[in-house]
Amino acid sequence: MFSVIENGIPDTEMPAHWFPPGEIRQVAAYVRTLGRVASEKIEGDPVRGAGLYAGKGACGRCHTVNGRGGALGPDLTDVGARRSVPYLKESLLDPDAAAPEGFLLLQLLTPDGRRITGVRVGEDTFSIQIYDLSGNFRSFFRSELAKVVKQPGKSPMPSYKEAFTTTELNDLIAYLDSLRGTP
Amino acid sequence: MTRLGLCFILVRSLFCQVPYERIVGASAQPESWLTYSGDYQSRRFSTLSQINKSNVNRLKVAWMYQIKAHHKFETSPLVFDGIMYISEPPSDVTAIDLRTGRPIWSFRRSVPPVPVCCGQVNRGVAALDDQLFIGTLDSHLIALDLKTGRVRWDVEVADYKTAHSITLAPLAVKDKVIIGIAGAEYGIRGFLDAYDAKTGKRAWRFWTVPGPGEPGNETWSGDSWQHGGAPTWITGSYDPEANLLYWGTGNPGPDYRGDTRKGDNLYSNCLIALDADTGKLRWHFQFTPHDVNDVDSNEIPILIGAEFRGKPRKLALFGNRNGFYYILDRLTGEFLLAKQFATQTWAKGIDEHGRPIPNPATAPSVEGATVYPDDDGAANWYSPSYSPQTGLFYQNAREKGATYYLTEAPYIPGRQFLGASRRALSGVEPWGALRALSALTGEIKWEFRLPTPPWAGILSTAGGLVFSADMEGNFFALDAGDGKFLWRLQTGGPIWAAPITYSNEGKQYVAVAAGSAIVAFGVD
Repeated sequence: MFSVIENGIPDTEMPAHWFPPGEIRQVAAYVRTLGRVASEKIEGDPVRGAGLYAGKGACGRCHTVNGRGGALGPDLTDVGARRSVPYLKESLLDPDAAAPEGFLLLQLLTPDGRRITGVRVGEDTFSIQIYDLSGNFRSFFRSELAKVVKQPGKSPMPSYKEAFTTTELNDLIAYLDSLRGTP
Repeated sequence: MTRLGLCFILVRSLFCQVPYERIVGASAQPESWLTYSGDYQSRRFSTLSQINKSNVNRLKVAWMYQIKAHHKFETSPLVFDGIMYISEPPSDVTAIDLRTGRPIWSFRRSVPPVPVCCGQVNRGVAALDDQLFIGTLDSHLIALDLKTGRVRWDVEVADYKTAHSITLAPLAVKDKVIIGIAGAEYGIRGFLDAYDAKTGKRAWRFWTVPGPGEPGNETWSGDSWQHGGAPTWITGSYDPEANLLYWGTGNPGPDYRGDTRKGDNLYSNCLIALDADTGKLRWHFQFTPHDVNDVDSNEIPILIGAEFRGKPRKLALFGNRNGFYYILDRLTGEFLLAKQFATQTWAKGIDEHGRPIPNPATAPSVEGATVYPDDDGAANWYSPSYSPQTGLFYQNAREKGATYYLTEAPYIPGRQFLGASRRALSGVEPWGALRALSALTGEIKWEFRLPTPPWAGILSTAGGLVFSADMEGNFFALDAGDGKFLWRLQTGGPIWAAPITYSNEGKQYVAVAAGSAIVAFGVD
């Protein structure tokens, strides 16, 4: 949110603000008290959706709910309060269209031809750190890599368009919408 | 007391001071670092070579000093006679023992809530005779006793409530202290001041936006000159032979609305040459007339002498925020060369007189206009360096654009006076590079890429080294000749400052402000 307030949102009406960092944090704290998405009436069953999240969808390999899960994707503990149902649906059907900020997909090529794909954790002039697609933390000096390919706008998440039936999709969305944060 | 004893006291007393003549001869005392940029020429180059290409891989931390504040730490230390003098944000000063890194004294000043665009920062102090000088965020200039840090005098330079602020290190010249001002994002009228070092009395003021009846006022439509900006917030250079000060000026105000201030808007975005005794303007060169993209010329001119196109000349070298590298004759202001060193789209080119040919499509508009560089610039206040050994001008370049949407810009004292909102470019990751330019042609000889746009300055040394840093905390050394990477240390905090080097008890050190610490490095 800090970055959004400071830089605005590209190609939208949200402008940048030249506030000092302390004031940006204050605004962010205030904004966090606002704008919680109201629960919508959804066809799906959140209990069945929870089962799909943990089972067939294997969502917890990459996402966290209430402190449990992986770090390849955003924390979903309060995703229902932050995101609308249409957004959740788009994220499941076309993940690249809703690729979240701060989760840049990288392909790293080693001199011996190995290709490692993962989400960027950190990067500086001399090193890169990622979570690979198995969720393992990996750290490389650039001198150990032959090539680094950045894939902005691309998500490591698969589309669930074919994998889930419409009913299953609605159940999963109902579960995600029910995630309103830790009381 | 014996004559010998008295002499010893006198010699010691004199030695522990910084007379003007000592600053003039700074390059012959590489053990010290006597001005913001090291010498009046602002080369940020040292003849020290004990740390060199063969041993820089053994560079280790000698000591660290942690500051109290959590603001950006932009200081460039002074070093002489066994002591380092730093400013701490927002407006404090600390003297540090070079042997141990332990503080000797600190001057602490609480400042009111000053409106500032870019952080509660301070970039350093100046020394002259037995005094240190600091400009404060609330626009005071203060003289401190060199030995105790106690206040000798304190004068108000301008009213902080109208968003005047001071963030730069002063420059001490002869018997005066030169200080600039910030606040163009808030509609100030810029100036450069000189104060008597002994009394604090103002000696002269040069208004960088001329008033009615003064030459240059005709370049401002209506009363727009009253809030015309043109600040002077980074330390300039000085030529003792010509007795000329060289100082960069910043953007006109409002930053992005040119329609409210028709004309070239002198002396915004200029390099100005002023008589150091009187503050009279000798010449000016305007890099970006009628700027609507906030491409301040608050960068540091480097002064060298060289044969240029077959003629020996005194030159001023200038890596400008607008993306072009310039060479001027510093005695006359004559334009000699401009060469692009980073991505820019605001100009279609530079004509034979040095005047840019603007690209109107990049001017902020209601619909939004995208421009390179963004308002952080292709360069900025951070220090470049020039090595007479390699003949290269080292410049950290920022590769970053943005889109600007016009907004209204009413002048309200103490409030921002911009005229546009900024949005980052979608799907484009900004980056940066340390670039080595042939000083006399501007041709890029090599570059060392950085994953994000840098804010660190550059130091070059006779050890064949270039030191700089990235925003992720790496402090590194490169081969000054070809840019080959030689050494680095992850300091753990972003580096917003320029390195220096000095020698103490016969051993060379390099120091830089990193994160919230001053770190001194030496070779075992």
